[in-house]
Amino acid sequence: MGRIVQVDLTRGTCVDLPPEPYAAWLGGRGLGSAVVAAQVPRAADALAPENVIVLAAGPLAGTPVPGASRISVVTKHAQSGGISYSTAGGHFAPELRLAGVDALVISGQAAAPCYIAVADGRVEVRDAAHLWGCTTWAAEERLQAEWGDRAQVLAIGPAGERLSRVACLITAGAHAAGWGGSGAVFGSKRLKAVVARGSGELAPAHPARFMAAVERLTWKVKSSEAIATLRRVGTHGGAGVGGWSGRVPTSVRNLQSEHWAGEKAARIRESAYRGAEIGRTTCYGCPTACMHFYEWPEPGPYQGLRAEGMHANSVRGFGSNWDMDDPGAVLQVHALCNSLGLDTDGVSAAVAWAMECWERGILTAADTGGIDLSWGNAGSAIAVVRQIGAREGFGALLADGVAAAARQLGRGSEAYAMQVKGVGINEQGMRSHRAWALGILTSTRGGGHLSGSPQVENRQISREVGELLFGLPEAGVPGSYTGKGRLVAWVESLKAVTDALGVCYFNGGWYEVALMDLGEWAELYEAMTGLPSSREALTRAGRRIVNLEKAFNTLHAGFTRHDDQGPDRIYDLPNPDGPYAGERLDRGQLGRMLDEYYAAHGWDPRTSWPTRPTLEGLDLAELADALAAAGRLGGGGEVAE
Amino acid sequence: MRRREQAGSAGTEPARVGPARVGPPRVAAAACNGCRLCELACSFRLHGSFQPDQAGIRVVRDHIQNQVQVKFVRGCDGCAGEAAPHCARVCPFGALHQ
Repeated sequence: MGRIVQVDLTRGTCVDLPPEPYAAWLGGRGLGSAVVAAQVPRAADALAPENVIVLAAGPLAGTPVPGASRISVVTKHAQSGGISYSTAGGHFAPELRLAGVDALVISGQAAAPCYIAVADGRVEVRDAAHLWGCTTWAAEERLQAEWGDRAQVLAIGPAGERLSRVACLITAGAHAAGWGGSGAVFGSKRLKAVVARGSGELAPAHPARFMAAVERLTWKVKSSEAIATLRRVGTHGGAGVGGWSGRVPTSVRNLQSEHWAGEKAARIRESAYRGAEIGRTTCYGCPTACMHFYEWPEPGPYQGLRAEGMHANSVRGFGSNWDMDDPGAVLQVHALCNSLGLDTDGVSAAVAWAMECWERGILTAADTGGIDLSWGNAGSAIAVVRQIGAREGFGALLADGVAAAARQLGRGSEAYAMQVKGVGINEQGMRSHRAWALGILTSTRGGGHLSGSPQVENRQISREVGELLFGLPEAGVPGSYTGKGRLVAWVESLKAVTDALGVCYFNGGWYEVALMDLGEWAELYEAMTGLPSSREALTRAGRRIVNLEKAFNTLHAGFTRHDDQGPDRIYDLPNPDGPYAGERLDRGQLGRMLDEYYAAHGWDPRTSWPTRPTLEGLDLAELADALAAAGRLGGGGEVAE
Repeated sequence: MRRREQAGSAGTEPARVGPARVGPPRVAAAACNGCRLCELACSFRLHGSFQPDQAGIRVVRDHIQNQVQVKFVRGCDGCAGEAAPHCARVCPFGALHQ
């Protein structure tokens, strides 16, 4: 493992941490979660100087392993108070490692705006007066002018400076570490950006073995039909609005329904943007190129607008979830979120809530400063997003996310806040896809389908493949509850390993069953690092990461089983129409899935808390002690086989 | 022996003349998506490790303008004596041709 450098912005010091204690966490999200759990006090708010934010590359970053480019960003979650992890692609993680640093641990609070430069082994805190106020794009341009065109930048925009708890970090224009209000954590530390530039070397411990494993994996990626589709149409044309020949569920009008009118979906589906595509972009070392670069060609307010990386979440979040079928406006909001440094899911949930409150008369023009928040009003939506980024006008109410906004407004608006664990969600399939929904509800980072939600359920793998991969023929049957608790627990561990290795979920097994073999990833890890690994060792590492995060949430945020339930409407308001008409999540069945899920993890089914036998079995006894001292250690705890 | 033109030359592949190539491969810059696998392959061939700054090929992408520049540096010999340049072999997007 390379260097882990702690930058204390209060003192202005940069000190190496011994890497040995963190080797078992692999890197990336695993290392980040371990450092955050070790350093952040229980009482500390996410925006207090005592919080730390970790930027950690994976051990495969900077090599030709397809998709091994992701930087993990881990911190205390600015909305949930639990853990937050995010990963961003682009070129930042490889450059950080080539600069000689595997992970940066950032703590304290600077006296004045600053940025951190990591250049060929030197880590320095520098003045950022000239960058403060810049968009993420302008900050990147200026820092590359100073540090060279190969320098990579991870920056906040105005939203992070104004401590918006839905602010994020952006690298390479459109790659976001979106979750957890990480932009606000940077802003609270008066940290504008981190720039990395390295001319160093990354050498595999066993070069021939490593290159053979890379070739095998690359061949699999290149011959995957699922990844070929991803390259052609992105997630937008796959799971996005109008995908799967119109059968894809999508959040409509603040998750009131999951089927959108066909003519609206047709206006913003992927094929509607093909005339605007001027290129593709890809992350470091990745043969997939799933990022589409658009320049809006049509005359009107968006003509000439350039933006890249519009994936399914942007289209769902600003399209169907706001009932907005103007394709240029959707692209405009996506571009604004990237340049202002705002998380697209958090913004979608907050504005969708406001639009529903408007429809119900809970919010009026007197509250919004005259902005008409009717569903689908593009001009209003764009104005409000600008206000969120600037924390001004009506946008100030939304700037800390939907849960905080509903708490502040009251008037019964809490019922219309689509959130899990205080974190706004922009999701689909919650009424029709059982494991997908459960994965969103149990995610340690508070919602989002990139934790335990199995892509195999969307892909509807055959009963034979389900049996082969998971011993579960129903794995690919969306409406079946059978075995889905166990499946989600398994996917959570798989995804934790993928994130810890710093590998993209598209190339890392979550997305494509042919790449789900942890034995292959163990071979890559061992050949690169020289450290022993195996399928079993990686599975255990994944379970340790999930347990650590769960313990952090239990200790810091006090979450219980109740917090794994999500919004009422996914149970009470069935889909009115569409391919999944009449579908809803059944409370009794969800309860049984949760029982099975907690049992699979070895957690207490009554409280959901981790138990001593489980934690001790993973060599995490100190976490059991900490939970016991807080009166939050689960009872029982035999891991179900 | 024929030296290939670089920097976006179009047209059909001329018939191989002579026993071996020298010089860098041709670049179809518009096809490049900026993944830099070529840099990794080149540096691995030259040094047995991944050192993109020490590669014979250099890719710079402007993320804001969506422009990619591909340059050859350090006296690239096009992997003379081998069947194909390593960079062209790994390019997933058909941006490099021998």
